Amino acid sequence: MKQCRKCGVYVDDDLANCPLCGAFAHDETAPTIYEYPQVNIKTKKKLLMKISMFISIFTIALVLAINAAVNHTVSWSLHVIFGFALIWLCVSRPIIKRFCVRKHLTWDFIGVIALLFYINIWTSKLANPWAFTLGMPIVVLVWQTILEILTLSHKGGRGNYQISLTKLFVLSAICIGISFIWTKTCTWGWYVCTARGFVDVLALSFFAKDSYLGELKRRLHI
Amino acid sequence: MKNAMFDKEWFKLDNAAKIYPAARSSRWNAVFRMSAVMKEEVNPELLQQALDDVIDRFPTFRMTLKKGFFWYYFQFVDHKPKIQKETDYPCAMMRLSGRDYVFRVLYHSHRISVEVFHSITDGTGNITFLKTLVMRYCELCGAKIENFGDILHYDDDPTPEEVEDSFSRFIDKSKGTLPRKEPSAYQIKGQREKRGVLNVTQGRMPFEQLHSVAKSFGCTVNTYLTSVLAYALLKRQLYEKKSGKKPIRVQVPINLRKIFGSETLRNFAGYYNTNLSPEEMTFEEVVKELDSQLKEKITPDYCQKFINSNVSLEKNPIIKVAPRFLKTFFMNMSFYLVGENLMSCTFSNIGNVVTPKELYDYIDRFEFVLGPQKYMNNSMTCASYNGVSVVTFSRTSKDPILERDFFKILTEHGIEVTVNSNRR
Repeated sequence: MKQCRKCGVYVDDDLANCPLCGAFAHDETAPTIYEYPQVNIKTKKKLLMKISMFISIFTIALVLAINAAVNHTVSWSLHVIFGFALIWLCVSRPIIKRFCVRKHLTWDFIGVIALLFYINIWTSKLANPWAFTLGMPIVVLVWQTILEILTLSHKGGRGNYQISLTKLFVLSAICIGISFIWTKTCTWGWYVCTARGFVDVLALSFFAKDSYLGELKRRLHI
Repeated sequence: MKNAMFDKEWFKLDNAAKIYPAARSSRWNAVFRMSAVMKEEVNPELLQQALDDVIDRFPTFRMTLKKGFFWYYFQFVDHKPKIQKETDYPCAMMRLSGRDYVFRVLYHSHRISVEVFHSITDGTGNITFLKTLVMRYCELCGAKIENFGDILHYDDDPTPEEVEDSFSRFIDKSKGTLPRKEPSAYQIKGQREKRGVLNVTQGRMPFEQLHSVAKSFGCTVNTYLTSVLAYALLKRQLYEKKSGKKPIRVQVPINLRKIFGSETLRNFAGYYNTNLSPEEMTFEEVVKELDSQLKEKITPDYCQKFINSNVSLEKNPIIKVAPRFLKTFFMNMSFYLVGENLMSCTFSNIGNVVTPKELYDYIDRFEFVLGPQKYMNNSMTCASYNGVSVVTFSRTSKDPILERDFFKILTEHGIEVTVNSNRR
């Protein structure tokens, strides 16, 4: 062990330089075993992320500039921005964050609903809210079907699927209320979704009583 | 297998634990490490066997973090944890997937490390777990231990006191709460490292030397080290010659178990921020000031108020019924406003680690590393064992400014310091 002339501390044999001031401490570092492992930060993924972010921002800026220059307003360029946002939220982010199938599906369905609302707003400014009265119930029905299949086919740890089905039931019920406030009436779509959700919850409470109610208690901290 | 004694499949998070999953970010997720450096190279097979034997003794460790509608919670994990070879920086990000354990046992060369997510336990809980694990490992290596001392034996049953939420047990609303308004503190800034990089610098020194120097200043080792740290920060701020000087505040954790007589292995620690005004002072004056603060301010009454402040917030009916995503948002905000901005550095001292004498032939020293902080660049810890004290700095900035100043003061006081670092 050698003493660092600058700092006055002794420097361990596996270091060539003083870790405090960087001054040269040893002629040669002898040990083959280091106190800490050699770590290489993986930069490949980060580089890909940076490139894709750069391409996205550059494209958006370019499209906005062209739109503003040609039409003197921001109009069709919004489609491109929305498309990029949707791809980021529903495809890139779940892949980068390594979401599980259930979470992946959730974001995919949210993306579809967002797309429906976007088209609805763009075409009729929500004067006829078909995205809410027809489109969204159909998406929810498909979503429920997939979750039911996954719940039945999953061997263990079905808790998350069961809770997702319950959430869809609650969402459908809330949407009936929103429907009455917004359109003063409610279409068959939300009734079907709610009824189906209720059947799901009833079936879970009956056939998977312990696991389902246990999961529900944990989630609600009861 | 579910823990037979408690028949518990899940736990609510204790009061202190609730902030960590909510306030975590891509740079910080409240992981800290305690290590035992062995005299021989670690045998992975024996370490895995030791972990298998020990894990059921600690039901609060056999958990994974799950998201509830109102709060996060811990759920029992069926599969046994696996030891891992250390390949990353200390206290690397822990994936909270809802399936994996929220602690990991790592080995590298002579070192056995236990890294935990702060929600499951604090320093005392982690060192208790590590001591039991290492003792079992040494037994498997051939150690014959007659008297276990205060180490929990892996064959004993866990007690209900060990898994209780002591914050809820010891709340006493009649004693009042602590004022929340505190000024922001000076922090050493510097060029930050890449995400995930944690520079660790350790200084080993003989405990006897440290003790006699502290005695010569008329204080304890803990107060002495806190004073050296505060003095180094004070000198650095005065050296920077910037206008708008801020107070130097070193955060010192308090083990509430000793004050309230709790045996919990979950979180039960409080904090006290020492305060030093930013003006020219001698080291002796700093010691005198901090000694009086640590002796006079950290009283049972202060600790009671600390518990009341934290628990009253959690019991607030509006906060109680708010969904988790809203709580997460406000906790993040409050962590920024009343969290790390109020302190210059954290100093956590687990004190002298005591093991049976038979283990002296197997264990060289204990180490304690705090993970990256959310806004602060530096933190410091200390652990002593068998006459050797290890002071560890962890930082997320590039330059070792604080540790250089700190160890320089120690060597000026005549303490022989041997340094090591993970940065070659």
